[in-house]
This record gives sequence, structure tokens and C-alpha cells, in this order.
Amino acid sequence: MKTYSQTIDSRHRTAFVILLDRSGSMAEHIYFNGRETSKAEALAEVANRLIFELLCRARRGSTVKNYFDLALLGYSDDKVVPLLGERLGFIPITEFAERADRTPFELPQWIVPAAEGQTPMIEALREACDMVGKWCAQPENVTSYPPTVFNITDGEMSDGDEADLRDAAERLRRITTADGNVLLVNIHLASTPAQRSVVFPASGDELGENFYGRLLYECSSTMPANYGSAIAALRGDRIVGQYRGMSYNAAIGEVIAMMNIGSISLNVM
Amino acid sequence: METMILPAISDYLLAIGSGKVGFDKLNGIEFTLDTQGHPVYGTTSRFVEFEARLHGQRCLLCCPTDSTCIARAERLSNTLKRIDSPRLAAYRLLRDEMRIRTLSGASRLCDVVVEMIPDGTALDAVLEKKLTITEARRLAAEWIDTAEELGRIGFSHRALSQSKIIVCSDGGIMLRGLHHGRIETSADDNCAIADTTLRILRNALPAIDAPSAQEIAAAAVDRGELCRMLRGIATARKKGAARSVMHHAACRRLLSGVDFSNRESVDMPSEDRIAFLENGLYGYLDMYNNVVIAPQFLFADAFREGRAMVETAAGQGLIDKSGRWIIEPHFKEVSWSERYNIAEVHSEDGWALYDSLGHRLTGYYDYLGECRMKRIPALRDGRWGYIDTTGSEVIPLRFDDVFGYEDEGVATVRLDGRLARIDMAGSEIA
Repeated sequence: MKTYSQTIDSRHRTAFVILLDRSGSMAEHIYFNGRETSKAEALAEVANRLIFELLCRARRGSTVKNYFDLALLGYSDDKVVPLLGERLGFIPITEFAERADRTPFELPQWIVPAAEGQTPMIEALREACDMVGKWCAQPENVTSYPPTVFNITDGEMSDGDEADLRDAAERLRRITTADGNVLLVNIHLASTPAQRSVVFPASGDELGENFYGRLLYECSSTMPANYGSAIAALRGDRIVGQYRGMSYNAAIGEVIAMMNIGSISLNVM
Repeated sequence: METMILPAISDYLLAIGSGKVGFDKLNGIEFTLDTQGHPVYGTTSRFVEFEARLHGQRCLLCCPTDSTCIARAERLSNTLKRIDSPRLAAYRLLRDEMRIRTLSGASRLCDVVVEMIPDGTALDAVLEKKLTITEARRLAAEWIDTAEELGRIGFSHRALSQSKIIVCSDGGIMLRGLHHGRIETSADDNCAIADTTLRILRNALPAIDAPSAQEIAAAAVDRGELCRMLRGIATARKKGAARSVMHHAACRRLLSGVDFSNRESVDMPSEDRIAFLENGLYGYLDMYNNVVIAPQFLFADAFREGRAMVETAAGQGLIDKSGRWIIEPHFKEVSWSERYNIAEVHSEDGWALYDSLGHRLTGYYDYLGECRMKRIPALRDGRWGYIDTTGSEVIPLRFDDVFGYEDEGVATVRLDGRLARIDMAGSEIA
């Protein structure tokens, strides 16, 4: 049976989870959009931008269709917290339209930047696992396009070892709808622009001897074939490969491009 | 690296909304603004489409959000330039036409598609108003001509809807929204073409008896046949004539046990006659696959009560089962009613009623409607009334408008702008 092919409409929604590293290292400064800013500010803007993009994609005429469920979780110190609302859980994209309170031509600020404490990434993946598992088990979602989880970080986890991370990632990736497995895309931000980046690698060898890069490679989903041509275009590949949903030392522009690919390759009604 | 993939919808919106765009060939394009001063736009699964004016002419500036649609748009753009059909809106892909600044700060050139919107009214808006029967038939005829022409040049629209069919001020029809179009021989549009035809006709003739659009589309072997069927329906005012198109669909199923494999196309048996197609002309077979009436007709309806309407280059007529002319084929339209054994015949002189032996029963009217309850709506000099099946004017022609009799023997009429209900004798019912 063909997977990752379900058209997204109001009866077959899909879900996105954005896990944002808000640890202390996110206070580091980078150049973004022609200005020097903190990684936390840049990432908040990127997350706001993804929400805005999904909102645009769900808009038909003057109404926003209920095509997407969205969860935004931040992790820092020793906890995972919702970045919108009071409790962990999905929010329909239509609610973002109600909260936007702006014109479609301005970028709303749903997420505010923060940077403090350590990096409980494994806990964040487990939390995502619980949420996504419940979402996929709901009768109205069992045939839907599976959820996509973006995990954006600039560092290593502080709440376990690599076996714990592999285990949490595998549990997440194992969750399915009838249309395919959950997609986990790990995005590692560059600390300095000079570092060589790897985006959607087609092989672990692209990460060289980098242990953390290889670990992220193992933890990330193999991207479905229908993303292949967009990823190849991003990478400048002439031949489409079998890509993993990860990047290492990605520049902020690449993060935007990766998240765009994660949303534009969807077959929205 | 980012410039290798297309901008996202939000890139376009934020750039155009903030006016941070530049153009090459489209300098002078003006975005249409809403009451709050924001660009008017819509999104599809592949494009963000901004309404605009270019040198005063309405257009859509279509910004692609999926790389696969650009190659398609380029092929289509080149082909449409070559065929230059007056039935299709001007559609061009312009490479590296628009410069925008993305959120990541990069300035980049983007491809855009420009589609000029023809002056006129979208069909869905046209159909919001009540058309007269004549207007509906004329519009349906124009639509069928358009569909036939597009079939001839091999254009498949593949996303036909009433909002994309523009009725121009001169009565002609143009199609817009061409993104999904292809130059290919395809049946993709057939169902939408049939559905559109029925919607036009039902605007003025809500009770028109016809198969569903799906049945009609399934029955047609090609666009030409589809259009012939639709013309049959558009000009038919009898149940039988419209129903005949169903036979094409049904015959393939019902005749599956009969060896008609030497025939190009056969219709469903009706009264032991089977219309068949040979070298583009229709004739009739008996039940044993023998030719009874040689292929000679452009269209051949099913026999009902021993009569069939056929069409030749000279016009439509009525034949019996041996092929003898009951009504010579000199008419624009012959509409046979097996239920009442009458034919309504349309010529240059107007409409007249004939019996089943070919005798003219009436003088000429400007229009004759569908016979129901032995009453036929008749129009002359702008006034409507009813004749019966013998041709007698049983209810004088004094109404502004009339509708067919219902089974209860009551009809709705309009007199001096007021709707009223009358009985079979023409007396108003309180």
C-alpha cells in the first residue's frame, strides 16, 4: 500500500509537533535576517513562521480550514512546557487564526524567545511520543497523514545517554497511522556559521566521524519518497537519494528551508 | 542553498504585503487591494494567486509553491502560445520575473505565472440569476461548442468548475484557471462538461429529464459523441429524446453477451432496432446484427412507438422502423413524444406540432414547451398559453410565462408579474 499519500482535508487532518530547545546555550548570538540576534529569538521567529505558513496553507478564501493540529513544546532546565496555552496538547490551526489578530500580511508572534538551564531532550521526545500516540489512536486520525515532529536544538541532551535518546526516538518513529509512520526531523543549529553543515543526509558517511551527528542520523526518520525532489533541490543533488530527516550545524536559512519542505510536500486539499 | 527551493506561501504574502517586490516584464502591475488596503489573494494547493491589473486588464499573478507545477506551467504556457485558442485565457510562465526578500534575508528571483482574466462574468454568477429558456439553450449551445472546440485542439482543463468558465460580453465562452491543463486526448473533463451543460439547462428547465452527468460521460466514446449527446439533451424537450443518451452507456453492458464485435459502436436495443455507428454515420441493426437501415445519419435516436428522430446534414427528421421518412429531415429540431404520439418541430418559420403520421396539426409558434398532461406550453408574440395534443389552443395565449402541468393537473403561470395556479381548463385556482 502506498504510504504518505493521504490528502489532507478537514476529515483527514495531520499534526505537527515542534520541540524547541530553550536551554541556556540558545542565548548565543548568530546572524539572522541581516541582523545579529540570539538563537532563541531566531528560533522563535522560525517557529512563528512555520505556524504562519501552516495557517496560510489552511486558508481558503476568508476561512481557515481545520487541516492541521499543532503542538509547541519547549524544553529547558528539567522540564517540558507548552509554549502556547496552559497544558500540553494539540491546538487546531483554526485557533491560531483566531489568536493571530493581525492581517495575513504580518507575521504574528505566537512564540516568545527564552534561553535558560539544561537540555532535557529525551524527556521532550517522550512527551511528544505520548501526545502523538494519542493523536494517532483517535478514530478520526487513523487514516490520516502521520504527524511530523521537528526537534530543534543546538546542543546535546542532558537527561540521559545516547541509548536513551535512540530508544525515545525509535518509540516515536514507530507510531503509525494507516498512511505511514510518524516522521521525526532533528535539526541541529550551528553555533558558528563557519562550521560545515549537513542537511538531509543520504548516508551516515556524510557526517564523517562526528559522533553526535551520527547519533542524530540514527534517530531521524527516513524521509518519504514524495519529499525526495524538494530535498534534492535543497541539497543541489542531481539524483534523488534516500534522505534522513535531520541536519547538523544547519544555518538558520537551512532550518527554514527544512521546515518548509516538511510542510510544502504535503498534499493539501 | 535556500534559493534552490521555492519560496513558501508566507514568503510571498509577507513580501507582497509589505511591498518588497520588484518585477522585470510586469513593471506596472497593480495589485488589487481590499477595503483595508491589503492585496486580494487566494491559495490553491499549488499556487498563491494575487488579483491584479496589468495595463488595465484584470489578471492573476500566480506564485508557485510546489516545484512540480513550474515544469507543468512551462509546458502549458508554451503550448498555449502555439495554439492561441480564443477559448482559453492568455497564460504565461515568466521565469525569474519577481524579486522578493525572504524571511531569512535573502533576496531572490521567482518564477510566476500570469493569467489574464477575460472580461465577462463567471458562469456560477450567471447562473445565480434565472435565465429564460431561450437564454439557457443558447448558453448551453455555446458551452457545448466550446467543449467541442477544446476537444478538437486536444486541450484538457482537468479542473473545470463554473467559476472558471467566463461568459464574455459577446456571448462567447472562455476558460481560465488553466494550471492543471494539458494538451492530451482525455476524458477527464467529460463529466464536468456534461454537468455544466445540465446545470445551465436546469436553470431554466428544472424538470428536464436527463441522465446524470456521470452516465452521459461514461456513455461517450469521445468528445465529439459527448457533444452530440449534450446537444440532443439541450435541444430535447421530451423525456425520450434526453433519455436516449443513457442507452449508449447501458448498451455496452447489456450487449456484452451478443456478438456485435464487428461494429464500431452500438446503441441499446429499442423496439428490435439497434442504432449503430459506422465511419462516423449512424444506421440501425435488427437484433441479429443485420443492417436494416444503412448508416446515413449524423445522429440516430432510439425507436419509441415506431418512430425515431434522426439527423442528417440537412436537418432533423422522423423515420419509421423501415427507414421511411415520416417527417422529412429539413428541420432544426424534431422532438418526438412517444407518450403523446406527437412531434414538435422547429423550422425557420417557428415551432409546429405534427402527429405520428407526419401531418402538421398547428400553425407556427415562437416556441413550444414540453408536453405534460396533454398540455403543451406555447408562445407567440410574447404571450404564453397552452395547446393540446391535437393542436387546439385550449388555453388562450395571454400569460407572461407558463410552466408545465404537474401530475395533479395544475400549472403555474405568471400574469402581469403575478404568479398564479391554473387548472386544466385554464381557470385560476384560489
